[in-house]
Amino acid sequence: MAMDMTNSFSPTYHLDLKTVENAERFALFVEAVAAGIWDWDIETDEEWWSDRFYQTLGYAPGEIKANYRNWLSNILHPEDRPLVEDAVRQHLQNQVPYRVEVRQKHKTLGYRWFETQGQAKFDSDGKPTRMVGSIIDVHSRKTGQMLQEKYEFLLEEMSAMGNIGAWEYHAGDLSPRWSPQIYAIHGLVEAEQPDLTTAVNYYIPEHRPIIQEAVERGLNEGTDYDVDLQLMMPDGKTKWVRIIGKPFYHTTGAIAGIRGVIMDVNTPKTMELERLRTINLLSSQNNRLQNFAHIVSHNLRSHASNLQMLISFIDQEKDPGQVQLLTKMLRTTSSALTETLDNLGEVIKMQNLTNVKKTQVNLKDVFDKTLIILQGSIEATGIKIASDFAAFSTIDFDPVYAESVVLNLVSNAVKYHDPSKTSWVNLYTHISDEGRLGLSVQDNGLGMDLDNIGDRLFGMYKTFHNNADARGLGLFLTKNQVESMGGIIEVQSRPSYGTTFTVWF
Amino acid sequence: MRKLAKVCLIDDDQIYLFAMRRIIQHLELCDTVEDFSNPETALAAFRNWPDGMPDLIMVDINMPVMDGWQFLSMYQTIVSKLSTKPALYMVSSSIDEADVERANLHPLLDGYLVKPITAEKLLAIFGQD
Repeated sequence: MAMDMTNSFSPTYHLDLKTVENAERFALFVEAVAAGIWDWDIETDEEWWSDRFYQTLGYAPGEIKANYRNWLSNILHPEDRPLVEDAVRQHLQNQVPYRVEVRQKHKTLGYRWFETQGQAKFDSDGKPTRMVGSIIDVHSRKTGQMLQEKYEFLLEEMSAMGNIGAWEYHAGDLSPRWSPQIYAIHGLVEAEQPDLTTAVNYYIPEHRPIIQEAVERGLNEGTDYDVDLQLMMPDGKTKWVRIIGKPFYHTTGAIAGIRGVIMDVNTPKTMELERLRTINLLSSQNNRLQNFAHIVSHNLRSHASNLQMLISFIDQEKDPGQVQLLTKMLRTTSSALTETLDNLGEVIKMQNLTNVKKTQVNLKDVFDKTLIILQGSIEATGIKIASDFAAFSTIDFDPVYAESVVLNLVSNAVKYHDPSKTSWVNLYTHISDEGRLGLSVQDNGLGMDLDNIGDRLFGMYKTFHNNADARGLGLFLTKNQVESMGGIIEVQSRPSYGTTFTVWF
Repeated sequence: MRKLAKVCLIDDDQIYLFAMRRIIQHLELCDTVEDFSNPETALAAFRNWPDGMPDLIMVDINMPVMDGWQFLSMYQTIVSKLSTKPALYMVSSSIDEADVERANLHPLLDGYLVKPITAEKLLAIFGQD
């Protein structure tokens, strides 16, 4: 495909071609390359532009005047002009290679990015005479690259601002790939990528099985996960992080690995937990206050009204025998009032949680102490009391509370025994499937109908048996003591079969 | 004022029962005073008295095992068959607004009395009958 050189070349332009063969070869070359070619006569300022040069800019060959001035003023983006002029000067004066990325105005598409490079020819005096070069449309690459740079910048800023790091695990080798932010979140210096076991071990022991299982399920079943877990930092502190993981797939559909993000959520999570703790504290305090109001409203008033009535009777009574009887009743009421006031004192003590401290408490010692205190009533009722501390015998609890809890539960079991059968109480420790420590006090006593009693069981001054000793305060105190130590108390009961109280520490 | 034949008191407080019986007898308000410290015993007695229901019942709210409210739901099935129902008052030393409100809304109750029950309060109730 030979090319008509006389048509393509500017008539004012003199090409130094020795042979037609050379000319043909040059024409072929110009046609074959994807670039537009320009040839600038520096002395005349005239230029020759190849057909492809015109086409690249959306023009028909020869449609606009090919010279350097025209190009500078009308084709080149005004903002890029200083760059071009400077680069050309540097090339012509100092032979710095000429290669720039600039915007040029396409006939219909507006400004587009081009890469242009060129080489000048110098005469024997070192004066430049002409310069030949090429232009290539690099618009998609350049805009793509700019977009990528923009996203990279945004991503970097966002991950730094949001304390978010990205990671990827590939199925098979299971080597995680961590972004720099993940090292920062872990409090580690950027080093070699840790293996999965190492990465899992950065979490606190209780949380390791959770992340391990999430990763395994993700790899085997393709399930997503989104969990809040605590990291163990190198300084020994812990940090809440949110880990989101999603599997990704090979083109075959097989799971290729998991990728996701880790976010530092320590501040919001700590605040959330603190809020929950405060709410729990407030609602339990509110509960105690309501019970308080109840004692004042009911129990104190009932004693007061009895006193008032008895005194008015004594005032009117003439018979000394009757007065003596009334005085005796007055004394009974007065001591009942004193007991209520003592109970109030116990509740006030509960309010003041500052003296409460968790230490290692041996349940066996606590149990032995309880037996000594209850010795009288145990012997009087003939109840058999057994204990079993095989599962564990030490708990982290306030020692005074521990004694109070065990005493209350055992004395309740003794108090509400069923006189019609051989009574027994069994106190034993056990560990749940979830690893929680439990202490149960089981009896074969009177039992209760829990459907009827419901949540009133642990209320203050609620008694459910017509028993002279029933004070209705024990279970209220027990529940509050257990809960203030972060525990739970549960009850199972069936009338005439017996009751089991379980404290989970 | 008509003298009532039978008044029934249900309360676990022995001192209160003693005092009420004394006031009622002193004022000669009725012939018979029955008292129960356990509402279940009272209900059992009502079931055995088809013709001898009391004219007036005063029941306490705060009692062990079965409280005044639970008593009311059991009591309802007993009196639903009767043509003339006894006057029924809830008694408590509680001045809790919630208790007062609940008692005022209860269809079976004729009123809510706050302890101590004085001769004046009793006279007002017996006078209404």
